[in-house]
Amino acid sequence: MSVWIYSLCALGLVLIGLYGLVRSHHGLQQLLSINVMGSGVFMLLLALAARHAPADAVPQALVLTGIVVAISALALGLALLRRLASYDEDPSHE
Amino acid sequence: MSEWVMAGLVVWPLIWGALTLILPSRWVLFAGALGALGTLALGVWVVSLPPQIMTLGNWPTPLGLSWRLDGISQSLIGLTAVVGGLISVYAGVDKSCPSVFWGLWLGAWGAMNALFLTADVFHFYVTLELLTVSAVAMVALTPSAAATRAAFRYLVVSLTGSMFFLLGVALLYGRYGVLDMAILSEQMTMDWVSALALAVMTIGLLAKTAVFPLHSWLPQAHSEALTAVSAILSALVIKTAFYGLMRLWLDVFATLATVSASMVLGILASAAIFWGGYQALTTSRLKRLVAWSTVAQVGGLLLALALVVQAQATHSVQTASLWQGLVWLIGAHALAKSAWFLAAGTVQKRAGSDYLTQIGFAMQHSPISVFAMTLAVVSLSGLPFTMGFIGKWWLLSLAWELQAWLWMLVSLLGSLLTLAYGWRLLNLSLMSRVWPQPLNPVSVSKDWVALGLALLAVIGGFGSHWFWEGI
Amino acid sequence: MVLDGILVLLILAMAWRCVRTTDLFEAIIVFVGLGMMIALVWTRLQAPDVALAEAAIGAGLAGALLLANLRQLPEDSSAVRWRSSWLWWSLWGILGLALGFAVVSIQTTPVSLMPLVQAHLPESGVTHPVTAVLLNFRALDTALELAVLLWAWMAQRHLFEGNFKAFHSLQGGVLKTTVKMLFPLVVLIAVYLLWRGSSSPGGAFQSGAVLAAAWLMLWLAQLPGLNWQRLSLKVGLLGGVMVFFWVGLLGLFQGAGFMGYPADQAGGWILLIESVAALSIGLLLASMVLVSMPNFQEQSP
Repeated sequence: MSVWIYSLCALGLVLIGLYGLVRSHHGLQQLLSINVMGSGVFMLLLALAARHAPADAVPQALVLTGIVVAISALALGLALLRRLASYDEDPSHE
Repeated sequence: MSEWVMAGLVVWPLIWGALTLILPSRWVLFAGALGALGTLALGVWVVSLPPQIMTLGNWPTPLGLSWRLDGISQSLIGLTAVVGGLISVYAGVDKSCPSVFWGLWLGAWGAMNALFLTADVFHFYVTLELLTVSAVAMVALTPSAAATRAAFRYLVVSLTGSMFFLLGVALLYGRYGVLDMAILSEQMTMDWVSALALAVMTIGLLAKTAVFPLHSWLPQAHSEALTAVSAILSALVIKTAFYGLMRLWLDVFATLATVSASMVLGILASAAIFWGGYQALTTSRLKRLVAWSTVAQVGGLLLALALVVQAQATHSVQTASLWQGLVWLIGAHALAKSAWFLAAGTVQKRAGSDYLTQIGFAMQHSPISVFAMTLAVVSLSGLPFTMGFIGKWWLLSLAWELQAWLWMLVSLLGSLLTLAYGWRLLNLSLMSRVWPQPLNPVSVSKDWVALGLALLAVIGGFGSHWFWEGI
Repeated sequence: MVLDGILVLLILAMAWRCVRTTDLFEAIIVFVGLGMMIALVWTRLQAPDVALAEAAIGAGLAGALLLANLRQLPEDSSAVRWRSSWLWWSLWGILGLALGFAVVSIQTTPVSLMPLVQAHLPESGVTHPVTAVLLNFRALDTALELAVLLWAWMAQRHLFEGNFKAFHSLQGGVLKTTVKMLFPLVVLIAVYLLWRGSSSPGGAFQSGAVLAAAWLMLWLAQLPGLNWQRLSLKVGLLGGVMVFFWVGLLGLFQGAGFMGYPADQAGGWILLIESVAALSIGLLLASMVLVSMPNFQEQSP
């Protein structure tokens, strides 16, 4: 039963993340929205895994992989934003 | 033996790429060259291996990962090897390439090899992510605000595309309980979940292939990047996402790929061809012209895919030569586009400027590069007797057989547009009244690399019936 | 049941707030809180491994990373404003409806790979199914994922500005003493997580995240921690990916297939890979955060 709720919650997160991506005011918020979307997809995978008893190990492994990939991408995006900020504040830096 | 070659395709570039992190900068070029050479050799070797499936860790397929070596993956690995190898030569000679380029490029190359080999949808996602991280970082190598901005935009679009793809993977696993492409295609049925999975994964990959209307990140990213990076992105990285589309539509979701679905692809492709061509005709900058050309050409590839989907759906054409045509077109474009970008970059270096109004003198003094560009344009427009011509011939005859008159017309108009904006560029080298300008010294070997790729795009067609008759 | 409902509403509300707010600091704080709630959800969904990783990496480390970067980013930025129109909104709505419909219809097909996992678990060298999948059955996935982490760091490293400003000391003696006491304990927890990962929730990623936290604590207290110029440290960063692939090739050599292990040695190899990987992950995550700090110096003070 809880699987249903979390699957729908997962959808909600994906849609909210997508919405946030389009309407964000800042690059950092775009990155956060993408991560929200990612959490939504992970939730869908884990909800599907929880249909079984014991819980399906494969989606859990996939989500673990996904979390590490997500943080790597976040770190890269932030580094780019920081570099961009240093150009904007000091154009002669180029 | 073949297992070692396949394993080496992924491990060799990644290990050498990782090593560039700890080596002192004088040695990085050496490590990069060694990595590139090894990967090139392995990539060419793999083309001669028999088609096979290799299970990693000897685990039976649905449980473990498997690597699939068939005509498509072999050809694309070999193509990546040749084009990548020549671009590496260019990068080696290019003084403005920072040493971190090699680590990133080898990572991207290893990711591409793993991508072409894999037969697992989630593993495809992981390789795609490794490729994205490397490619975005390569765009950001150029020390300018515009490049960094382009890199960030590329990252955002790419990540969103990956999320959509992963959503599709989740739906597929929820519906079928397996991640292996072969098993999925066997069990695929026409229902809402599968159709939605196809739609969502296609959207994600279309964003990564820069198909209209999700194309706007490409012209900036490909034009602001370093020359070697632009060539890598346009010729190779874009093709990986297109390869994903091929595998999805022709293999995994083949049961769902109906004629009406192919119509959607065809419409998007046509929009890309016309919009890309129009922008290439009107832009004022050199590398941006070439980048918009990529948008248009990718539209052409998608059009070919739409036709192949239609052919498979209606069973009206013998399916043997269908994938060969697509791979041929990919190869022709990769060779021609990399040649064009490298040559354009050399000219831009000489002229010291990217604006079309200021490069005329440099073009007149870069005969080898201009010749390379000419050959590239000829091949991309599909004029005889180039690889592009053979590919276009295949495309048009397929459209004729399917009686897809509209797509035929679009393809022909696309060729005309390519000729038009190609001529627009090449015309600059023929103008009589050009003011002499000081030219930056640029090594001539760069021109020769570009010419080498362009020549391959032209002569690659000769004696190639072994490819068309099925490897 | 009621708990789930409340949790879902809380999560959706926090996600909405996170993407809608115009104050970046608030967005980050809400994001970290969201991560914690989501870690709770993972435990509700019988996924303790993922819960550990989410709390440590997805909420904790991500929060540190975001906050470290926030100070250096301007309020307004070069974010691309996408044009939103009625077409976009209708597509968004259609996507939502289609997804809802799909998710509802999936519930009736409970298929999975779990039976296969459990059948082959005895040969895998570990007793915890998630570890078996990650480090054995789908080992190349994990190896490439480590590569993604390494390459992202490679890219970040290149973009690092290298501000060599003076250190601002944060606290006096209390922090230093506390960290000196805590550090060995935290490392012990990391080792414990790693060791237990073969038979219960835990493993390289969770352990690595805890190690990263330990090193960050050292840096915050200005205790001599890691000297980033040393070769051994740089080798440590690569270690995870390298060892994983070398063992994978060794497996091919021994006839167990690429990225495979001979059945009797599997447990030992997996432990080796996990240990080196945990070290690499810890170093990579810690350095990702440190490189973002405005006062970070390359040499140890």
